[in-house]
Amino acid sequence: MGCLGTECLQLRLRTRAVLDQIFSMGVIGTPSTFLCMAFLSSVMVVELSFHMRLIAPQDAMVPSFTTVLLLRELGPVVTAMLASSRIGGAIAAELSTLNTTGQMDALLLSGVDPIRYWVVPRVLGCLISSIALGVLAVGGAIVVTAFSTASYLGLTPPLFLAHLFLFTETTDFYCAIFKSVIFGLLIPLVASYQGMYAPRGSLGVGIAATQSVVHNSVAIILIDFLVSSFWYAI
Amino acid sequence: MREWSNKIEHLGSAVRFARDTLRVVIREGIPWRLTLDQLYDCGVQAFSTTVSTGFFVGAIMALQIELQLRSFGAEGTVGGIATSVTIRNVGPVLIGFILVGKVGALTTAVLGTMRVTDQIDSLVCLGVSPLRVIVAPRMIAVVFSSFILLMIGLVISVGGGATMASLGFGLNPIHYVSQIPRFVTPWSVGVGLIKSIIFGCALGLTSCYRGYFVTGGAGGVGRTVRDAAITSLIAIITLDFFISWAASAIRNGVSY
Repeated sequence: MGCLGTECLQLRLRTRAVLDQIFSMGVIGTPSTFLCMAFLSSVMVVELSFHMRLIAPQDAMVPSFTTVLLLRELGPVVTAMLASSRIGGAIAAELSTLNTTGQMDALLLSGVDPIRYWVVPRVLGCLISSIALGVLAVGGAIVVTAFSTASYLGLTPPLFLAHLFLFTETTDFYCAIFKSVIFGLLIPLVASYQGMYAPRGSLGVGIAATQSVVHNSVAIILIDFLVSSFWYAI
Repeated sequence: MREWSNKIEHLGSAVRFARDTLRVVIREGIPWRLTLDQLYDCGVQAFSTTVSTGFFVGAIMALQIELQLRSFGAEGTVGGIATSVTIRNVGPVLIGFILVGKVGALTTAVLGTMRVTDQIDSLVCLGVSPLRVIVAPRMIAVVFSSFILLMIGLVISVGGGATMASLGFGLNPIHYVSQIPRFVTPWSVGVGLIKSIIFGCALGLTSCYRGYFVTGGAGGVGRTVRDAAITSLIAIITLDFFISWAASAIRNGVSY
């Protein structure tokens, strides 16, 4: 992290490398993220309308309830989970392959810091694409929620918009973006650590990819809990 | 377009792979000894992760549902609603995500390493069926242990929710738990269990299939672990939607 700050301050960024990372992380993962968010928001409409009928015999609160839950919790977490296996696994496997094939030694010998050369562009690329993807995913989820309330509950889109802001507040949007920022930093850092310090050899590549997926997904749940409780309880 | 036809091809050969494995198991019986070893590897090692995840998932849902219910003054029912949402929907999905990383990725990596170091080919040369010795125990173990772990995680999530409600909102834990029978019906628990077992099957099939057919050396193992994890995640979310939809259609007797 300290190194990251130094790089940004000294403006020695390799812009080209960062752009490559943004492409491979953000653009390639977009279809699967949208697919998952579409199914997730539909299932939340089905499930929450079931639960709302248990306490109040009307469907009017379902759109707002679903949107709030997606914004605060499920949207950022599911996007980050997908990113942790797609991006995190890729970074860990890539870096441990580079390490195994001796390319890290070559870099060190030629006087280049591997963290500056490999890790910094990945972290920045992941951060930028995570924010963009988080915003897009949550936006797409709200659109799909509108469609599924229309078909499942029979609420027309104008009615959906009217009910949308019953509970939804601006701070919920900020919370979603804040979580995207945190996860966008967390995923590449954990993955790079696992990749660079994995045991060398062909076994190490599999170990690095597995460990980075495991550690990332547990860390996402824990950090999500912490952020939610600090954001809303205090 | 080509990418999508490849995906459909993968789906077909995964189903054939499952059929072959099932046929071997039915014809020659379950290899108990190997399966027990795998159950230890998958189940016991993932236990602590699942328990802590279950606890925090329950706590997160209690927090969120409490905030929402408070906005129209029904926070007394938080125990029932939070538990019901967790058991029916959010719990299986999020704990399933953790198991994808913990159990599925491990299985894919081990099988893939066996494949790229030619251990599977040498088994074939020795006249031993790799499906019986390597794949069947792992598949059974992954399906069974993810089912059990999901159930344990769901039970723990109730504890997490009660802890969060009592520490964060000053709700009496006994009051929290007493709300559960009002809202959580046997039907809801059944939906959660069906989801658990179907997610377990999807996870076992995806991770074994992708690991068994790894190509491309050590780098290929890393790539395949990643691809298998993404496939399992997408499968879990998609299946979650279809199960919920089918459950509500059966329940309401209406076809959408």
